[in-house]
Amino acid sequence: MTTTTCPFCAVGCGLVLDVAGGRVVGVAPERLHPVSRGQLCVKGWNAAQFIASPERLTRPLLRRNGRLEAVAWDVALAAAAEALAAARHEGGPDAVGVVASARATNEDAFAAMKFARAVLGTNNVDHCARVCHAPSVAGLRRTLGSGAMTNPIADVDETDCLLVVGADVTENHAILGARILAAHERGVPLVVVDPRRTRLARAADLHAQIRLGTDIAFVNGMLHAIFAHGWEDRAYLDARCENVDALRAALARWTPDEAARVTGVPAAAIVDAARLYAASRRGWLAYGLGVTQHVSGTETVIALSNLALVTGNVGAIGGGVNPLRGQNNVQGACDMGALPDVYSGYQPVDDAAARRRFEAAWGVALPSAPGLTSLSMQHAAHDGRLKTLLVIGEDPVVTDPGGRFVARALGRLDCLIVAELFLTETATCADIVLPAASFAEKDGTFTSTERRVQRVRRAVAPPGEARTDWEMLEALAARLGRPMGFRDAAGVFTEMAALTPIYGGMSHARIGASGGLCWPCPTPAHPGTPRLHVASCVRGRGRLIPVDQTPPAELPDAEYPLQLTTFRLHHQYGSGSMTRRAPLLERENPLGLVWMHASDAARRRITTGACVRVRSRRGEVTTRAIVSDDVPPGVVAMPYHFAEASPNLVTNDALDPIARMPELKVCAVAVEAC
Amino acid sequence: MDACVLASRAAVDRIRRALALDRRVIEPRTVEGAPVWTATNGEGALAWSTAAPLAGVKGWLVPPREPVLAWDDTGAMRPVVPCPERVAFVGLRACDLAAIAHLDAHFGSDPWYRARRAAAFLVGLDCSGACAGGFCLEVDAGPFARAPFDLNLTALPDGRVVVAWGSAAGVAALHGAGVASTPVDDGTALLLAELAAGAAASFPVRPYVARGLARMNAAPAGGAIADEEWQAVGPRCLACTGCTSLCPTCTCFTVVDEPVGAGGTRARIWDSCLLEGFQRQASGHHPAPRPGDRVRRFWYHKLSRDFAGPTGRLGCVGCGRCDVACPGTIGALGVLAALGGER
Repeated sequence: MTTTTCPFCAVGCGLVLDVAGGRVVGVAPERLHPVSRGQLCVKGWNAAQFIASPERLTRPLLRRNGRLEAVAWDVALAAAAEALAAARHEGGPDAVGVVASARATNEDAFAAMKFARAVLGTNNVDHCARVCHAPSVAGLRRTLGSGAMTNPIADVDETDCLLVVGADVTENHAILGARILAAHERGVPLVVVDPRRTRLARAADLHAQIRLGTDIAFVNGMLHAIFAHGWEDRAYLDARCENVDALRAALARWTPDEAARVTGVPAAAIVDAARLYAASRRGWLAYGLGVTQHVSGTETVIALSNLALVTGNVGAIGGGVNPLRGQNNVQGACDMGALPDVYSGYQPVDDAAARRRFEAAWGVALPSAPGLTSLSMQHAAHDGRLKTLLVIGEDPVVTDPGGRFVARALGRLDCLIVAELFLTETATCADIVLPAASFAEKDGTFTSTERRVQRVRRAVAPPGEARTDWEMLEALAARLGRPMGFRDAAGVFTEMAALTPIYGGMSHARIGASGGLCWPCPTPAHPGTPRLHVASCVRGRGRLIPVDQTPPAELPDAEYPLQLTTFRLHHQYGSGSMTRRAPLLERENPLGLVWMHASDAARRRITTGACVRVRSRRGEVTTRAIVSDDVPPGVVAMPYHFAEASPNLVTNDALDPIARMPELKVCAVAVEAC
Repeated sequence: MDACVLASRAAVDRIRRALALDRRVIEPRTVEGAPVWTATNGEGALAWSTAAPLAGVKGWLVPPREPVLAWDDTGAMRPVVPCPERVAFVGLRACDLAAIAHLDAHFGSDPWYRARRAAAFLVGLDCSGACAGGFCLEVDAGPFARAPFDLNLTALPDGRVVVAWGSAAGVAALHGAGVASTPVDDGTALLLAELAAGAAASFPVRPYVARGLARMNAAPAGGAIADEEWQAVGPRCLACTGCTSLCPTCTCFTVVDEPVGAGGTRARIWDSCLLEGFQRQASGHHPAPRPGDRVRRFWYHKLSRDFAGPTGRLGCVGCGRCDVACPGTIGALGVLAALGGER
């Protein structure tokens, strides 16, 4: 029995792995885990299946004569080192890039960012936070000074109102979603803002079924009502916020009637939502990718921050602005500096003092200009500026927007190196594939959505010759003549903590003994920080920033009359590389589906189960229909887990100008029976 | 009564160490604050007051993954029957023993189960009172154990221990340990009866449990409960499979093939009737298409006499594990509270 942390969503549940005969045969929940308290979702209960899948990669693969062939590690590493060195020689350090993994450990992510910066000499390092919560990091840093979830999950039990915006919590963060349902059953009002009728929306006291991409109008309408009725926290605004008058002035036009016109939600419901949230003593505001995956993602995050500040909810027990991170360690991968503009702990690469600290520790000169984001790396590959790319544990061919562009761009690289558990769609395109260790096969840490840093413990040996990411990066660094000096996971963590003030007081030993610590935890005696911004915001005063409604980049028209949105299923995770190897999970949903309203279906003579084609300006995909009132007329919705019918063949890659987040949550499509 | 009296708890420790001579002795021990079935080698003293672990012993008798046959690249197929190591579970509570009676009946002549069951020596330990969340008393599964056990222990307040035996192996183990014992005299029998009564009296008063069970068992089968009640409960089931995984009487499995090259293994793995895919038929027809239908079906199997085991006891043994595991607060007590008008 090995106690570890669940590898799926960012709730960070405690998992006990049952090992027999060198194989993980089952799992059990950790009875006394501070967050999950003896519970798991269906993905957690099925976590054993993918670990021992016979489809796991066990040997490095090298493309020879167009085919991926098994080779020795030495051969694969030599080829990878040669490709990286050749690209640097030809195009300079910025002709290479690294995409780190939000599923791997903090130690792996820190090694990846050090490898990019200290070994390859580039800031071209990023990961999938780009397509989930980059707008949260950008938006909340501007308003509060920190881009992370402000309050702990346990505050769901301490609040007087729950406001959930653009998040399908019972399906994607099930243990948290269930806690929200339980609080609601005890009488805590629940307000859900979502274009889809989710499980939470059906249970809610108020479901504001807004039009896609009109969140800012809705929130501004709430704010208008709050000021109009005097529900704002005047003392809090005076003591802790700035820019109040500018916000009030900008809200003047956002009467509930105007917000109703834009969002499609009745004005009375907007006022009701404002009253439920603002007139409660405390409100716990959570949001998900329905907020961030828009061209206006960062501004929507800012609007939500305005809402929480105006009502005095930032820094309060049971309050907060709480972005629900998606992947198990997407918070940690951001914290570790697997981002193009910051080192670990959000220390900017263009800050000379920060850069000098890392240069001194690593003994190399580091580049000062921020690097390319993951999507910019794809464009650079397409244009021939990026020549060799290392992708660790991500599957952008399935998860990133823009039709077949991603595969085409990756195809133009001189060399694509992929470290993976399975031969994913992206790995299939690679020149070199390195077999990686899963969470059950390594030591380290994950950081959950509530900034809780928890231990990951090795229960079994990796299959065949698979290695942890930091081990293969260390071997690659040695081949490139710049060893990083990592001997074990605890040592990687120690180096990281010494360079990262928010993790400065943590160690593997301390985390293991405490059941996890929430950052910031700057010193060994510091107890950790479950709530941010308590006495004042991290940046000092909370900054109110007026934001205005920006329509989606693509609206429906005669040719593409429907709006497509994307979502996730309870039984699947990400691109499905892990969950689709679990027979019970894979059985639960037929491959690829599109949900559509009966009125839209009837007009097209489509019934549940019918084969349909979904087309946009960027491509088309064939899938099957589910006729359902989960979506309103005019909207269709697809989960993105299935490469066989990926909505990302049709989604829009229009970008949020601040966070460079693509607008995955809305585009215009046509749907017809096949 | 097939029982005798040991003068002290130390005598029990001698039995445990004797069992450890030719078996792995597995007992509840507190690990990181929570009870866990732990291989102890019979060392130290028995942890008399440690509660039943959240993950029971079902995983030993019916593993979450059991290979059943293998084939090789010649196409030859062979059954894979386990050769389990000999184990002794010491400290099984009445609820878990009642559950094993269900497993014995369900798997009957199943060779995989029989092999594992034959290798397991069961030592029960009577509860002195209600545990948190347990309601074995209300479903007639505890707190004092009945068969099947090889040996069963009841701690007396004066330090003596009553040991009952339920099999020849139990008698042999008792003799083999060489501990001195005395017969159960009238005074001790009276003391046992008082202990049982005291344990029963320690349970919280939960009239909704009896009300819920009565509604569940009113004729026609489950008919006293309106469909709307189940459909109201249904959305609270996230289909996490936590209840069916931890339930000590849940037995459903599915079969998966794991090819490796030209060979491979067929294994059976735990399944769950609360999954939508479990009951969906090849035609696409689904006898329980709505979550409320699946929740009703599951609890009908647990709480109705229609599915009582050979001992006449319900499929629910009152261990309370599902109430811990259910994110939707519709474990057994949660559902009985809903059916019994408590919430």
